Amino acid sequence: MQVLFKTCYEDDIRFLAKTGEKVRVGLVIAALLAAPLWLQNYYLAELGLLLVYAIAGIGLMILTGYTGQVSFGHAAFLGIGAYCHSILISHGVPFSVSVILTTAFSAAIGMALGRSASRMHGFYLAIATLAFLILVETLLGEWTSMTGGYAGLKVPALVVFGMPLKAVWQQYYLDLFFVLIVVMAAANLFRTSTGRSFLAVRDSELSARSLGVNVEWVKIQSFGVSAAITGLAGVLLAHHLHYLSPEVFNVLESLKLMLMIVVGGLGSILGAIFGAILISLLPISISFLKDVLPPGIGQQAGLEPLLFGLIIVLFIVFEPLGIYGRWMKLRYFFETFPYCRKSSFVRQKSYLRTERLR
Amino acid sequence: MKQLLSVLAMSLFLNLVACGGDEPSDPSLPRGITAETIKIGSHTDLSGQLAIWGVPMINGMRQRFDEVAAAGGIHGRTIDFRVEDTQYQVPLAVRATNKLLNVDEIFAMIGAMGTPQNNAVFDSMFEANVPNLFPLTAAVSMYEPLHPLKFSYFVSYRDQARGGIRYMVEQHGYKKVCLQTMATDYGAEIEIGFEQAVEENGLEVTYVGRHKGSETDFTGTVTAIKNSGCELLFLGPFVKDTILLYTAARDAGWEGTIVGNMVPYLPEIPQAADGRMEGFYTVAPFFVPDFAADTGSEWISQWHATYISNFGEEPAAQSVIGYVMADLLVRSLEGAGPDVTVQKLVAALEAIERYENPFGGPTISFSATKHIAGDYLNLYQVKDGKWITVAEALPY
Repeated sequence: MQVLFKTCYEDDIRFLAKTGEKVRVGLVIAALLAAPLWLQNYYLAELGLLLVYAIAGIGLMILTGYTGQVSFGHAAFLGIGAYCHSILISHGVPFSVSVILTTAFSAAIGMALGRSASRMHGFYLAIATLAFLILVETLLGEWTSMTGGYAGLKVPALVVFGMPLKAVWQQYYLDLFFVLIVVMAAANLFRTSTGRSFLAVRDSELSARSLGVNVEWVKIQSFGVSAAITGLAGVLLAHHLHYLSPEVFNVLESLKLMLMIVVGGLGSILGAIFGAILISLLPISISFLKDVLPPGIGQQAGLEPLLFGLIIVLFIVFEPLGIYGRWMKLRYFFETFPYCRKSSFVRQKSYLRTERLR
Repeated sequence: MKQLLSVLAMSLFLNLVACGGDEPSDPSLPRGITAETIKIGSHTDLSGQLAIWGVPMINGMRQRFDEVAAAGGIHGRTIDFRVEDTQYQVPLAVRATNKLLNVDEIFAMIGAMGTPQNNAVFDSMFEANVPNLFPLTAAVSMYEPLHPLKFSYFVSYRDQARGGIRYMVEQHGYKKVCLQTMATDYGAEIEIGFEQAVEENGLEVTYVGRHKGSETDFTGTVTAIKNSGCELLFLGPFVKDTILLYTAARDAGWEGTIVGNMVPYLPEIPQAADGRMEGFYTVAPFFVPDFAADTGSEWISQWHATYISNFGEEPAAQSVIGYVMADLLVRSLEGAGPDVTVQKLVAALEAIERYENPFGGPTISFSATKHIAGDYLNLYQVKDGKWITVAEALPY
């Protein structure tokens, strides 16, 4: 069992406190950097897409996992990001400028949504975000002169700083670059007072308000940050899809993002990454499984949604904390061996249930 | 994070499995071709909202490829048919194509479903020199602009609308036309065709409406159509809303002519809504025999029985289309000879002329400048609970 000795104030806010964590994160980054050396193009493209979904997952995680605001409309921000970026670069705006503009635009829309949604909770918020998604999807379809309408919009080739990135590995490194930045930024956010106030609002709006947190403003900020990150994921997704149509950013895509963070584990950045791994890996494994299984089972329609559904049900029944929760418990078990017990993870604190202010 | 590592390890493992599973390809042969097999790929909806189209179509293709295997193959090679499920989602279609191109290394793609799904993967397919044959969509972009590797089976939605409206206007002298379609890429294509037909025939547009797939109440739409003084309504929705719109219009006492495109041309339609579909027209570039009645063809009843024993269900219209598409591919592979390459396949396809498929319907021709199969359209109408062929050989 490792005991942390804190010898300076910096230790309190270090990203990675334990040696084990440093080694693990270092190994993963090294493996990701080396991936193009030993992965075929197909797997590399899949890994790139996984990273893009991890970014989108982190975006939603900040809003839902850290601020407690449910959103069924996050595919809209993916769409806004993808469309805004594609339109900008097809008008000759360089990639680097377009990424910044798109992220800012997405953040602005997110904050506007946050402003109108900041007084809603639970079902009302879920319905409001869903309505927002339908609105954006319709707008993308009907604004033909700008978005190409329902017929779709071709995404121009990826050119960064005047350098065309045609090979799969080049695009992969671009994805990886943004993932690392987003993970760092998100981790850093929760060391600041802004991030801490997100957590306060999630755990109890009443307590947060009593402590002087401006709850409405926190929600607006959280929507903004979340939309910016998801918009960035949309930019990268556009280059993976090569062709955008409004149907791509529908309710199903939103549900996929939601599923990703719920199965991955709410309230942790790692959970969003686990979720992305799950939803990316499952279809590939199933499609390979199909070739191996006897045709009677393998070619059966609906195998994939069945397995997807089964996994969600099993998680909700047996591990509501998601993959991250399982991983945390496993780690705790080994790190504190033999002191781990069932009650180790029972939540001690409980807040006043009344949240009604007026 | 450890999880991420194990995932990477697993993908490496899968990678090895994938490499180990396939026999090493002979560098002298083109991609997807071995001494014994030709690898053909498809991505379609097997479990999503359009699985009702995807599944029977793939079954129809499998039936043709099984016949190839039973007959000893095409120049000694059987078809290795790889199908990926996209659930009608573009991202999954991109990934499925990526897998078919880079892992399975297919020779050609056939029957890929969806307009945006196909548009999204054209670039990567043509870069890999893989032809896109007979996608399951009648969008114009499936064969225009002309590309040596693009072949479409269907006359486009645009031209179906043009052909259908022109015929009706010529026969009945209609002047006022209206359109009800969907707010999707599919609806946009139909609208272009509608506008062209209006222009070509000098018609007056009284009403244009669009709806979403989730809508179920068309009372307002029908009232608007009725009040606009429209004489000919062209319909461009999917199956369920076609039935709803048609019955709503008749219930409201509107007696104008209603024409749909190939989408609702299904064996189920004449029986739908307790026979209230009487009088409904469709234009389609293919023909589906009525298996329940005596078709007068030994071959068709044999085919029907084999299909049922293979897949345990009645063949749908899409099974017939899938079978004919696969048949066209098999014919052109035969025509391409034993040393098949993509060029030879394309040349053999372009050489097909006035081919009459065993089910009947419009003849099929290709040429160096014509990459759509159907030579003309047929007009069908629901009469006494059955589809009746009203007119053949409508130009488009």
